[in-house]
Parts: sequence; structure tokens; C-alpha cells
Amino acid sequence: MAEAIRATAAGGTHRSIAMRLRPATAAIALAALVCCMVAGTLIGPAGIGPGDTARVVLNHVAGASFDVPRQADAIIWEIRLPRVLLAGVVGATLAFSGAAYQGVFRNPLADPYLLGVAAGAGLAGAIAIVLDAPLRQGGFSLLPLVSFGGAMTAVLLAYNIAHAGGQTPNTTLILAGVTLSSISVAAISYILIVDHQSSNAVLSWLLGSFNGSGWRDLSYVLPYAVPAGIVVFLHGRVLNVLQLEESEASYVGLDVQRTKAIILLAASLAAAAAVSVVGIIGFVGLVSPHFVRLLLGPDYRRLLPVVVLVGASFLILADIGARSLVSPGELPVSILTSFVGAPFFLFLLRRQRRVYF
Amino acid sequence: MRSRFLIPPLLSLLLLVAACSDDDDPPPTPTSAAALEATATTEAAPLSEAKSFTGSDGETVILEAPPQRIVSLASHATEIFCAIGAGEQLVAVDQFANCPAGSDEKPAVDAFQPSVEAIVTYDPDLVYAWYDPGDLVQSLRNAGITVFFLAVPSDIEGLFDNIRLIGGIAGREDASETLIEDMEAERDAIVATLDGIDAGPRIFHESDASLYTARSDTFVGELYTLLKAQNIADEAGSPYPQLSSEAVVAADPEVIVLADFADPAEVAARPGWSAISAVANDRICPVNPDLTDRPGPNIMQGLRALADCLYPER
Amino acid sequence: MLEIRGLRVAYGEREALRGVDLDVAAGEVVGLVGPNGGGKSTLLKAVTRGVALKAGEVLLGGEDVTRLSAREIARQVAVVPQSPALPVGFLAREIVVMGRTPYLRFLEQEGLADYEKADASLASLGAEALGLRRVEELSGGERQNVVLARALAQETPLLLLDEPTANLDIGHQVVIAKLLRRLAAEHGVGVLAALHDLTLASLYCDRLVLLAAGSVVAEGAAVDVLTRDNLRLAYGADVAVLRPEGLAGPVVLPLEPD
Repeated sequence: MAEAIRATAAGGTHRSIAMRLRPATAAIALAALVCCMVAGTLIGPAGIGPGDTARVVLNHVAGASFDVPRQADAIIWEIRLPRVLLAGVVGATLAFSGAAYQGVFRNPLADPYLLGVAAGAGLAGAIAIVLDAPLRQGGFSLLPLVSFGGAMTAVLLAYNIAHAGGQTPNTTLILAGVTLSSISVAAISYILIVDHQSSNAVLSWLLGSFNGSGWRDLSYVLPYAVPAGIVVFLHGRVLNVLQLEESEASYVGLDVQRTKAIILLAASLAAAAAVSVVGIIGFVGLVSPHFVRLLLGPDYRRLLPVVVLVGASFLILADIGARSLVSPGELPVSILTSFVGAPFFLFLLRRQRRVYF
Repeated sequence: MRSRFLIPPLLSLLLLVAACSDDDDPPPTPTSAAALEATATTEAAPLSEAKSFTGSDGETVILEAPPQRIVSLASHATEIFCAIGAGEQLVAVDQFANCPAGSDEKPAVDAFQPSVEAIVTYDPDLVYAWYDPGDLVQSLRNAGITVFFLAVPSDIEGLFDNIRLIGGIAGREDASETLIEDMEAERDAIVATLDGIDAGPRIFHESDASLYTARSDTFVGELYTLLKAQNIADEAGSPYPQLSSEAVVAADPEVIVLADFADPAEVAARPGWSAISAVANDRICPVNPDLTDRPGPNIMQGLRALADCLYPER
Repeated sequence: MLEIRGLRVAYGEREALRGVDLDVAAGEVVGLVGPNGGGKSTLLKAVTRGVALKAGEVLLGGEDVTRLSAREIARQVAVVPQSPALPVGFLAREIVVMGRTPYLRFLEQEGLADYEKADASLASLGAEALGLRRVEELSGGERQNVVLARALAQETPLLLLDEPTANLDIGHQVVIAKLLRRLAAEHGVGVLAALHDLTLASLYCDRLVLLAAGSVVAEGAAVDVLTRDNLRLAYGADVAVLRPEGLAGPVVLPLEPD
């Protein structure tokens, strides 16, 4: 990078420096993701051989007509492949959402749940489950819709509480979000006590799981994750400028309050969509940006494209563990993301003592 | 700023709605007519001497006479008390039990978050508990109340012992023996119809829509063993595991038993489940979990329901 | 360039500015002096619409500031804050080039020309060597240079500085002061600098405005503003004011006169 700058300063290249990714890191991240996806498709409790797996995929994707056992076809195409893709999409979503939150709040502990996405989704979902609400309408589950509504309600409530006199100070936003989370935790605890029959269902929902997901779940997440992701990506340069304190960012002409609102809204929508479909998965949104920052530095234009690859890989791997470690049993995926992610992150911090905040 | 003030009433409203949600299971059919008649005419025989009962906590309870003001915090125990005609001796029961029709509605006590005070107001001469949240048992004993604590039976023989014990407590030993005999007879009758079958179908017992199930070494698992079924959960590492969707499909159960009020049509529509034999052959049976999962007097009805499900032609 | 009329700003009950008039014309260096808490920082904030105006108006290039967008304001005035926070991990050069933000459309990224201007800004402060250093490795004075360079890169007709010499050694103080004079004289930039060093203000500013308790105590040439009476009124202290031969303005010493 320093070479590039000197070269440019001496009148060398024409490409703007900022747009240059570190190609090696991005390529490695992409390769890692592809490996994880392949591994995810091959590994599972059903013990289907790679030959059959490949044949099933080719049948559906390339229109081939290989002979495959009916069960292998159902498992690979209906269960495993959508599960891997969903894990990747959710991991990527939580990663860029976490990066956006950390950028806006300039706080290393920020994650996509800071303003209440998890609190709102969790509580709304828990209430819906416990009330035995008619969640299944003609084969559709309304649970994602209900919890999405809960998530966005919480975020908008937090924003509304913090918004005063044309300003939305970060500290107040954080306090509002933390308060909502506490209320949600208390309410959910109460619900679990009052209705024991549903406690398994509610806890499963809260802990987050890809068990039982299919293609339809992808169709719930993508319409929010993709546009929101694009919005956040386009704000790369702006996120850099926001790293100056808010007053200084406005001195250089940024409409700070409006920009914050747009970025937070996009990140929250994406996170809400993810949570409403798979539940609350922790750690991915917090750790992935830090990991990439340690490798690539704080520039969000370099960070964002790679953080989605890293988040996707991380969650796909965690999900492989969730369905394979206690096979035929299933572990909640959040347990894996925490148990594996936390020590790894600590190790990384010790190796490189640079602290980016 | 104003929205901040909406939180307490909104939250209260939410909590209120959640608290008012009720568990309306259809009550199971009463135990056989003969048993009911027998218990209705038998009076509680007065004890000639004090009896002692030792619970699973090691504490011994000594009763001079059968208690007349029992608070039962255990659903299965409540149902056993009712089934042996000791319903009159109960003053308050847990909120989930289904006493057979004919007994009076008893006031309900929250068995999972019990309030010591609430229990004390009933002035019980015995409290039967199986679950001890927050040192409940010790608090009650400190208040001078006799508490008998016994863990849930883990198999049918254990259930029979439990029935005998409750019969002893209530002073209705004869009724309890009758009940046990009837239950054994019903069990043997059901199993007899399976003569000649070496191995039953592969089954998946779903206790919860997030794919929780039970292994053969559990109470409900024993029912399936009696029916010679093969439980796909037996490979799992814990008695009540959550299975992955893929594992269920790979195990290919021939019958799926839904003990979680799930909708069979919706279960059949789960991703990848169309490849399961049970789904393809439309062999998905909903059952009432109070009959199959609760180790009480109605367990043989549960067994019959499962038998009908697994062997519809018999 | 900058016209302030009857400006009143209040923080809750407390009035920070009680009707202030102030002008800065192109090519002049105006020094804003006065005791701490007297309203200097508030005045500077009001220019960029950083505080709500209770009464009065602020005109930038003839336009009412409350009607301008943040971008438009940023093209008119650049601010050098007192204690800048520089985010860790960025190169000094990358921070300086953020001063080009008002000229970039949303999807646009900084180009070659922007980086050249950033480098030139650093060079004008004699700090071109800082460019490729990480900001967390810089000393207080070097960081001040980075922020000043960023403001210069903004290429605005008006420059606001809040205590720019507070952390600098005397050598750097002179460099900054001379730079401000040069900007005004050669580039027609209007400069409004809040200074706590009265002597420095006296020697390098064209005009002084003495602000205390939210009101203008005195305004004009240094020799007229920096009198014992004015200073006693503003600071509540009796200090010595000397008029050495050949100096542009008086020298103020933290000494009680005999």
C-alpha cells in the first residue's frame, strides 16, 4: 500500500488508491468461502457420498439427468444446499451489518443487535409462539413476519427515544437499545416461566438455528439483505469520514444525522430479516469486522467486501458443526459461534497488538 | 420523548396477554368403567398404625392417617390420586393435570413457580412434589408443612410402584392395586395383538416442532419398545435430543408420531420430508402428549393410541 | 464574507452569547480573544450551524447559514477544532484528503487531484513527511498539523480555528501564525481564530474581538482592544500591557503592573 501511494505521488498509476483492494486477501477470502460451501454441501449426518452429491447438484443446476437415490436428492437439494446458502447469506448479512454499526457508533463492542433487533425479534417471536398464534397459514409460517415486525419496532423505538432537537446522539441510542434489550430479556424470562410447555420452542427460536430451513427461508432474507447490503457498501467512503467525530464529519460537509439514519436503517433491516428467519445468532456480527480490520485496516471500502466473505464462511463452518458434532442430534449454532469465535478472536488480538479504536 | 412512557403499559399489556394464554387440551377419556365403579364404592380405610414413606430426597414422611387436604404439585400424581378415587382428598392441584370427569374442579396452583404462601393458605396436611424450584420443599418444611418429594418414574414398573405408594399415602391400597391390575391387563392385551410380529416399524416421535424427540430409554420410549417399534432417536447422545432435519430424513421413519399438536399437512411439507416413507404413505399420527408423555394412570390409553397408529390394521 | 448580527445562543437557561455582532472580510485575520467560558467556542460553532440560534443571524458569503446544507457550508468555511479525534489506523494523508469531501458526489471516490491537494496542504505546513505516517504515531503538534492541512485542503474562503496554537511549541506557533497571514494576504482567505495567547493575537491579527460573558467588550485594532481597563473588565485581572517600539501591537504580560 505504501508503495502504491509513493508511486502515485510520483505521478505513477491512474487508479485511485482508495479503490484498490488488497487483492491477495480478498481472493483468499473468496477461496475460503468456496471451500466452506463445498464442505457444507458434502458434510452432514446423512453420510451421502460426494459422487451422489455432485450428481444431485448437477441434475438441478445443469439440467443433467443422473440416476440418484430419492433420499439423497431430497437431502442434498431440499435440506443441505439451502441450509448452506442460508448460513452464508445470514453470515454475510450479520457481518456487514455489524461493520456498519461499528462504523456509525465508532464503538468496538457494537453489533447488529445494539439497537434492539434481537430484543424485538426475540420477544415478538416468543409471544407469538406462546400465544399459539395461528402462525401457519396455508403452509406459510408467519413467524418471520411477526419477528421482523418486532425487530423493526424496537429499532424505530430506540431511534425515536434518542432523537431530540434534530440530533440523535450515539450515547442515547446505545442506552435506548440496551434498555430495550433488558426489557425484552425480562419479558422473555417471564414468558418462559409462565408457559413451560412452550419453553423448548421459544428457547430454540431464541438460540438460533438453521435446522429445518429450506429455499423459502432464503427468499425471506434476500429481498432485505441484498438491497441493504448495496446501500451499506455504497457508503464505504462516508463510513470512513464518519470515523472522525460527528462534529468534524459535519465540518467537512457530511449531513451526519441523515447519513447515520440511512446506514443504521439499512443495517437494521438486513439484520432483522436474518434474525426473523433463523433466530438470534451471536458473535458473527461482532467478530467478523474486527477480524477483517486486523488484516486490512480501518478503511471501510476495503473492509466491507471482505467482511461479507468472512462472515459467510464463519457461519457456514459453525453450522456444519451444529449438525455434525452430536449427530444425529443438533446443537444450537450460537453455541458454536461463541465457543469457537471468542478464543480465536482473543488469540488474534494478542498476536497483533494494534487496536483499532 | 413521549414514546418512552408507552413502554410500561405496552409491556404490561403484552405480559398480561401472555399470562392469560391457556393450555386447552381435550381431557382424556376416563379410566375404564369398572375401575371407576370400584373406586366410587370403596371408602378410605382408616389406618391402624402410622405409615412411613421415604421420598427420593431421602426424607421420610410419617402419616398417622390418610391426609385429607393434599396439595399435589405433580400432574401425574394428581391423576393417580383421582384415578384411585382419592380426588376428594385433594384441595389444590397443579395447573396441568386432567382429573377424570366426575371429580370436582380443584383450585389450581402454579406448580412451576409456586408461591409458598399460596400453598400455605390451603392448610394442607401433605404436599406432594416432584420438582423443587428455589428451595420450595425446604421453605414449606420450614413453615411446618409435611412435604413428600418423589421424582417422576422413569419406566412402567416405576410407575406401578408410584401408584402403589400413592395408594398407601391416600389409604386406598385396594383401589391402587386394582388400577395396576387393570393397567397391566390392558398393556398385555395390546401387546398380545402384536403376536407374530418380529420387528415393528421405524418411528419418529416428535415432542416439539423444533424436532425434539425421546430415546428408547425414556418413559415414552418404553412404550415404543413394548410395541416393538424401532426408534430412530436411539443413535443420539442424550435421552431427549434435538435431531437435525437431515438426520430424520436419512433415518427414513415409516411412522411419524406428532406429540406436539403440529399440523400433519404442514409437517409433510417440510423441506426434504417428502422423501420420508411416513410422509409418502401418509402415516403421520397426532397424539395427545398428556397420554403418551406423562407417566400417569392414562398411560395405557396412550399405548393404545400409539398401537393404533403403528398397526392400523390390527 | 462572514457577517454575524445580534447573535444569541443559549444552552438551556444559560445564555452563552448575548447579542454579538462580528464581521470577517476576505483577506483579513481576525483574532477572537477572551476568557474561558466567555463564548468563543460557541461563536465558532454557530458559524457552521453547530448550535441552535436563539436570535440573530449568521451570513456566509451573504447567505443565511440556516438555509444552507452541510455541504454548502463546508465549501464556504473550514474548521480546525481544538482537540481533534483522529481515528486509529488511518494514514495522515488519508485524514487530510477527507477535507475534499464537500467536493465529492456520493458515489465518487477521492481522485489523483484530491490527493495532490492533500499533499500540497501538508507541504504548505512543512509537514509533507507526515503523509504516510499512521495517525496514532503522531505527536500532539503533528496531529494539529494534520487537522490544519485537512482544513486547508477544503479550499474555503473562510477559515475558523479554535485555539490552533494551544498544543504547539513556540516555533510551531510562529509557523502557524505566519501561515495564517499568508493565507489572508496571498489567497484572500478570511481567518477567524480563537486565541488565548493575547500577545500572539496582538502581533499577527488585523483585528481583535474581545469576548467575555457572551458579549463583545471591545473590538478593533489590537492597541485599542488590549488596554488594562478592557482586560480587567474581561478577565477580572489587572495585567501589564506594554507597547515596545516597532511592534505591530501591544504585548500583554501575566504580571500585575506596579
